[in-house]
Amino acid sequence: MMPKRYILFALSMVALAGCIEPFSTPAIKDQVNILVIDGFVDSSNGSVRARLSKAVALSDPASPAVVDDAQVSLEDALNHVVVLTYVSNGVYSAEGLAIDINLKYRLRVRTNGKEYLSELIELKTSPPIDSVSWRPTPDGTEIMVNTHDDTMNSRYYLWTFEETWEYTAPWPSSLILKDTEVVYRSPEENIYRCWKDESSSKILVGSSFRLEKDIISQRPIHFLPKGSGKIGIRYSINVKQMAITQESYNFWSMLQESTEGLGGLFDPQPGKVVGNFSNVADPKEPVLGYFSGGSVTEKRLFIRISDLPEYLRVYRTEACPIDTLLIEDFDSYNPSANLLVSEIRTGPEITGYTITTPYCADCRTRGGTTTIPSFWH
Amino acid sequence: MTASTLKVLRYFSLCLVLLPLAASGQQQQRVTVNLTDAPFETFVESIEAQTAFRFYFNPQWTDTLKITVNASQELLPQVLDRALQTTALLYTISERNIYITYERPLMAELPVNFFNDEKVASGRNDNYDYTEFERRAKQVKQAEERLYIIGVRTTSLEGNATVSGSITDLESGEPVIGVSVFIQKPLIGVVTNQFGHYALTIPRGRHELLIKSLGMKETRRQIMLYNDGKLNIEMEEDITPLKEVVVESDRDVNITGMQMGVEKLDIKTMKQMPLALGETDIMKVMLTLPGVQTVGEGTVGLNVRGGATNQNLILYNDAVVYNPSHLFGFFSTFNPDILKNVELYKSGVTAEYGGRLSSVLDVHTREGNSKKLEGSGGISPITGRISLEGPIVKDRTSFILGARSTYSNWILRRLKDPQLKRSEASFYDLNLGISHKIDENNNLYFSGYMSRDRFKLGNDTAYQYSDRNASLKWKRVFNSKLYGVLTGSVSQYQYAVSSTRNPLEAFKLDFDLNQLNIKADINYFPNAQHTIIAGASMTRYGLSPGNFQPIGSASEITPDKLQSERGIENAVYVGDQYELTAKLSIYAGVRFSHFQNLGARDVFTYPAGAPREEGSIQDTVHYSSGKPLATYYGAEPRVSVRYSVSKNSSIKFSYNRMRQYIQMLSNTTAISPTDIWKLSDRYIQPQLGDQISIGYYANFRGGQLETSVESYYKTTKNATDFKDGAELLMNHHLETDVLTGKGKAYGAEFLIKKPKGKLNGWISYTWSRSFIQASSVHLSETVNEGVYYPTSYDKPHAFNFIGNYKFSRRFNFSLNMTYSTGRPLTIPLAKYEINGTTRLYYSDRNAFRIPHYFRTDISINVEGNHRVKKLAHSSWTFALYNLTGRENAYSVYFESEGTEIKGYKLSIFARPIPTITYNFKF
Repeated sequence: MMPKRYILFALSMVALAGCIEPFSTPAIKDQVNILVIDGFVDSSNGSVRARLSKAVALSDPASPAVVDDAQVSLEDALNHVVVLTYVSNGVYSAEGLAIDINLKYRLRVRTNGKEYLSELIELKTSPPIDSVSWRPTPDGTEIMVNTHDDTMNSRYYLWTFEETWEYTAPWPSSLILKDTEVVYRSPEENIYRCWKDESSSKILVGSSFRLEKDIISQRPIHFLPKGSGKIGIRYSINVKQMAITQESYNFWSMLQESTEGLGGLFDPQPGKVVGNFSNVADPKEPVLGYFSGGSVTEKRLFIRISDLPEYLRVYRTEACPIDTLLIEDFDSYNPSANLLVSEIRTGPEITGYTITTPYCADCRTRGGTTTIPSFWH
Repeated sequence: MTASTLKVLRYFSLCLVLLPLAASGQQQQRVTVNLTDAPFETFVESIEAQTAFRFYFNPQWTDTLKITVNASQELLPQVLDRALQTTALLYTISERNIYITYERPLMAELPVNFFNDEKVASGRNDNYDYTEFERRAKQVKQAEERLYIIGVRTTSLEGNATVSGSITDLESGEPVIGVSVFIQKPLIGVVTNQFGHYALTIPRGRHELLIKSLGMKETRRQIMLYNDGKLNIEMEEDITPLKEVVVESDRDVNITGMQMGVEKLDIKTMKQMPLALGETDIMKVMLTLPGVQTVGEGTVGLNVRGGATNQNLILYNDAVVYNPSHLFGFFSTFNPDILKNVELYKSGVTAEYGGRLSSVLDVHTREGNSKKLEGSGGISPITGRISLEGPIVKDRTSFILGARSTYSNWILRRLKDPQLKRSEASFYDLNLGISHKIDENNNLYFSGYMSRDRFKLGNDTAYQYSDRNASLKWKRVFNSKLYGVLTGSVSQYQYAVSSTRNPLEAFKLDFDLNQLNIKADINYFPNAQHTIIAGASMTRYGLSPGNFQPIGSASEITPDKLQSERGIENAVYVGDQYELTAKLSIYAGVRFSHFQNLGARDVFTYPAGAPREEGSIQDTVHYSSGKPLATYYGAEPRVSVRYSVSKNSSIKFSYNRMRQYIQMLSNTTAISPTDIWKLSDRYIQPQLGDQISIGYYANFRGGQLETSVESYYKTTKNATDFKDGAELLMNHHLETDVLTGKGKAYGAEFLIKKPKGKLNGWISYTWSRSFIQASSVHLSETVNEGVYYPTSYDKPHAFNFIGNYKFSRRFNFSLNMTYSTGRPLTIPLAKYEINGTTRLYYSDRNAFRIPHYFRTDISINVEGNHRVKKLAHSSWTFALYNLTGRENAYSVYFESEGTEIKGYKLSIFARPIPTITYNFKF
């Protein structure tokens, strides 16, 4: 109830002497062997997806290992069974299913000689997203979601989003060396303009259970700090909304509380967050993760830099040096170290090229792709 | 009401023993003495038989002395010279008295304050007008020499009689607490209680009453006790100590007193300790005492001997205080200017206290000066405070008024950070005390207290809480052996959380707790061996545990109100302190308490054998208004025994049982303003605590050094705990989130204290453990697989050093060092990915610890000049908190940032913090 920032706030008042430092946990000797199952059955497109992995010790530098040798199946309350097939990266899925939103479903996992089963879950129908809106704040851009359910059946919501933004490299490379010849890049060879995706990494849950009507109004779901660079040209965010059960809501909000900011003296003490899976033979074995399902609704928002108020428009000022390569030195040109930006002409004659590093001219070095997303126009 | 009637068995200091003899004769007398290796007493008898002179001496100096003197009709001085020439003794003849002194001569004219010869008023200045001083000295001297006749004259002086009365400050008229009133032979004494009242039962006849208190000038009264009677005594404040030296009330009380596990501190001691924020804070001072801990600096909750923060009964002039903190706990709500003293009972709690398991923190404020108007105040970096006191009707009615506030809002508006600039933080507290003397035997006391806090970050949620209480006390002295006190008090604690950021979700959440208490106590002193305190108390509770309401017409918030709670707690109690022999003293008391949680209320029922969860609610039972829905009662025995092994050492034992019918529910580590209080009900049963404690106390070097070892073992039934992820606010069925478990705590406390001298202070070391167990057949109601696990305030090792050194009367240097083991912590053991983000899997609850804590503080007090009379007295305090700048962990937390888990340690006073405080008195 009392976020950590209040303490910091109090501190800044009383002494301005607070200090936050990295803290490394004591080394844990015990081996950790806990199964994590994260599953969702999507009634909108008739698919089911589950990701299986293992928890690893905090001090372990490796990222959590995936489980690729399990048998995963979806069962409904009428005992119809669908077997999920392994895709990759711990993900098992099945598509093209006729999911009945009025039936209850559960997930069964067999691995390593043990059998795990989720509770039978109720599927919920998500109302459409009314709008995804944004507003400028002194420190950046806040993105919010609005929805409502006149049937008052939803009440608890979970959101995820995927954001995409367009950006360019500092310098356009208009030329490319093909074989021994320098030619103009074709539009397909463009490496100046890119699009980059990122998925939400926070748990976004909300509820209207304290309200008379089932309304979610201006629920902040994302914040782009001033100068983050995401709204450099054009930015888009696609928000997916799921209506969830109260149990599922409790699970996600507890998981959120216990990993997104805890440890202040006024914060609830963290604890074990147990999901809806258990070992059939040994109910004491901890199993992490949650299985939920229902329909998914989505909505996309676009923001151009010109939509932002003046004070939020931060243009990139990156020091990207440009060099000159004279034609007589062209033999020493290394295309992997430098890219050709433009020609230098003395009269009609090409006497050299301006060059720069790939980082300064190839937008893909910054994580994006040059493929224009299908929804961009 | 307090441990006021502790008997002081013996007292040693520079005292003279009066040997009453018939006196007559002349100044220039001749005597004949022929003695060889005779005891000094024989010599005295010989001379007193021949002359009218009387000898005054301390038998300690003379009991091994052998006198050899032969004189025939020689002048008395010559005989004395010869008799004493081989000894260290000196004599002084004054009128018909011969004073024998040790090593130093006595001035022929006895100085006013001879018996405090080390404490002669200082800072005398040539410009100073002594008239008033001399007049008062004369008055004091007259009072000391006059023989007071107590009671109706009788011819028989057989048996005992009781002399009683009150002791007040000559200057201010305020009663003086903790004054020892005693006679030397036989050694019988008592200590004044919180009203300055004493009652001393001694053999009839001629006595010299000695009246001593630290910080006051010692005085004496000659009495002829025929029958029960009254003697009021005025004492003068000792100017020399400049309100800075005192550490403990009565010398030797640790040996001779009945109490164990009791810490008494007066405001003078507390004021000299170095503090972080430039303000004397009793809660912080308490933390330097053995057995008292907190979860983190800057929090107010005390954990006494492994008890939870809600198990402390905090009394402010007998009214209960629920949240004694300002600004998250960086300040406590008690204004230092009007405080008199604070007593903390860790064990050996007497029967008149009840309702909380761990401790009693009894805070008393001063009574206003009944003779003249006075004021004082102070300015520190965050707060300003002022107090005013004076007579309303001279010598009958006086008042004291204190106010304190912060200028943090003013500071905030000057900050650059826009977030902070829009923030608000303010608090204030007000105190008013009125005392009225109806007549000789009747006194009325009124006390009012109010504290309020409000804070808001940016445009976000605003928090506001306030604690208010008032008490009215009527004290009536029936006769010298009996007095009674009738007290009525009312306490209110409330908080509100509100947010209007999003008009659609604008809300206000209110919590409200009211407590009404009436109690009657009698103090009865039938004879010298017994002190009986008995009484009855009745408390009504009314709680509105949560009221969630929309703000504004646009708000779509559904109003939600938790059912209100009502309860009644009654208690009767009696306790007798019985002095079997001079060596053995026993206190035995019992409190019988009875509690009912009353309707109207709807109570959920759960099927037997099923875990209590929201989904398992079976039925709702309605209880109509006034109908009890849960009743609990039981006896609470309290026993203490003291056995004096020798005059410098004693062994004490105590056993307590306590019951607690109201508890604070919290799943945060520290007390937070939104913690809720809950009456015991059908599911959350009252907490029951038992403690046995044993201690050994020894003084060395004539009380210059006090040492003690105390150990204890405590068990608690129905200690509250909570399920992982419990939601406690606006919860209609708290029983599904709260667990009750068993607690146990044990430890040993070692203390070495030098209470007086240029260098004074104490060193303490405490080893203690505190555990809780939540075990059930249901997994969801079990924590850490049902085994005992450390509470979040379990800190096994704690060390404190408090030292003061007086360079001169104006400069005082203090050093304070604190070490403790880090508090337990639940940490993430493993990480895993869900939804593309790394999440944490936590360890068993409290399985790890934050780094240990160490801090050093220093402070220097500089007093203004020390003229006794001047317009205003002022002092400056320069303090440096956390001298070494050690980055002590306040908390440790973990955050998932993308795919990484980062651990952070938050330190709040991570570098040395200097403060300057200016205090003034006029």
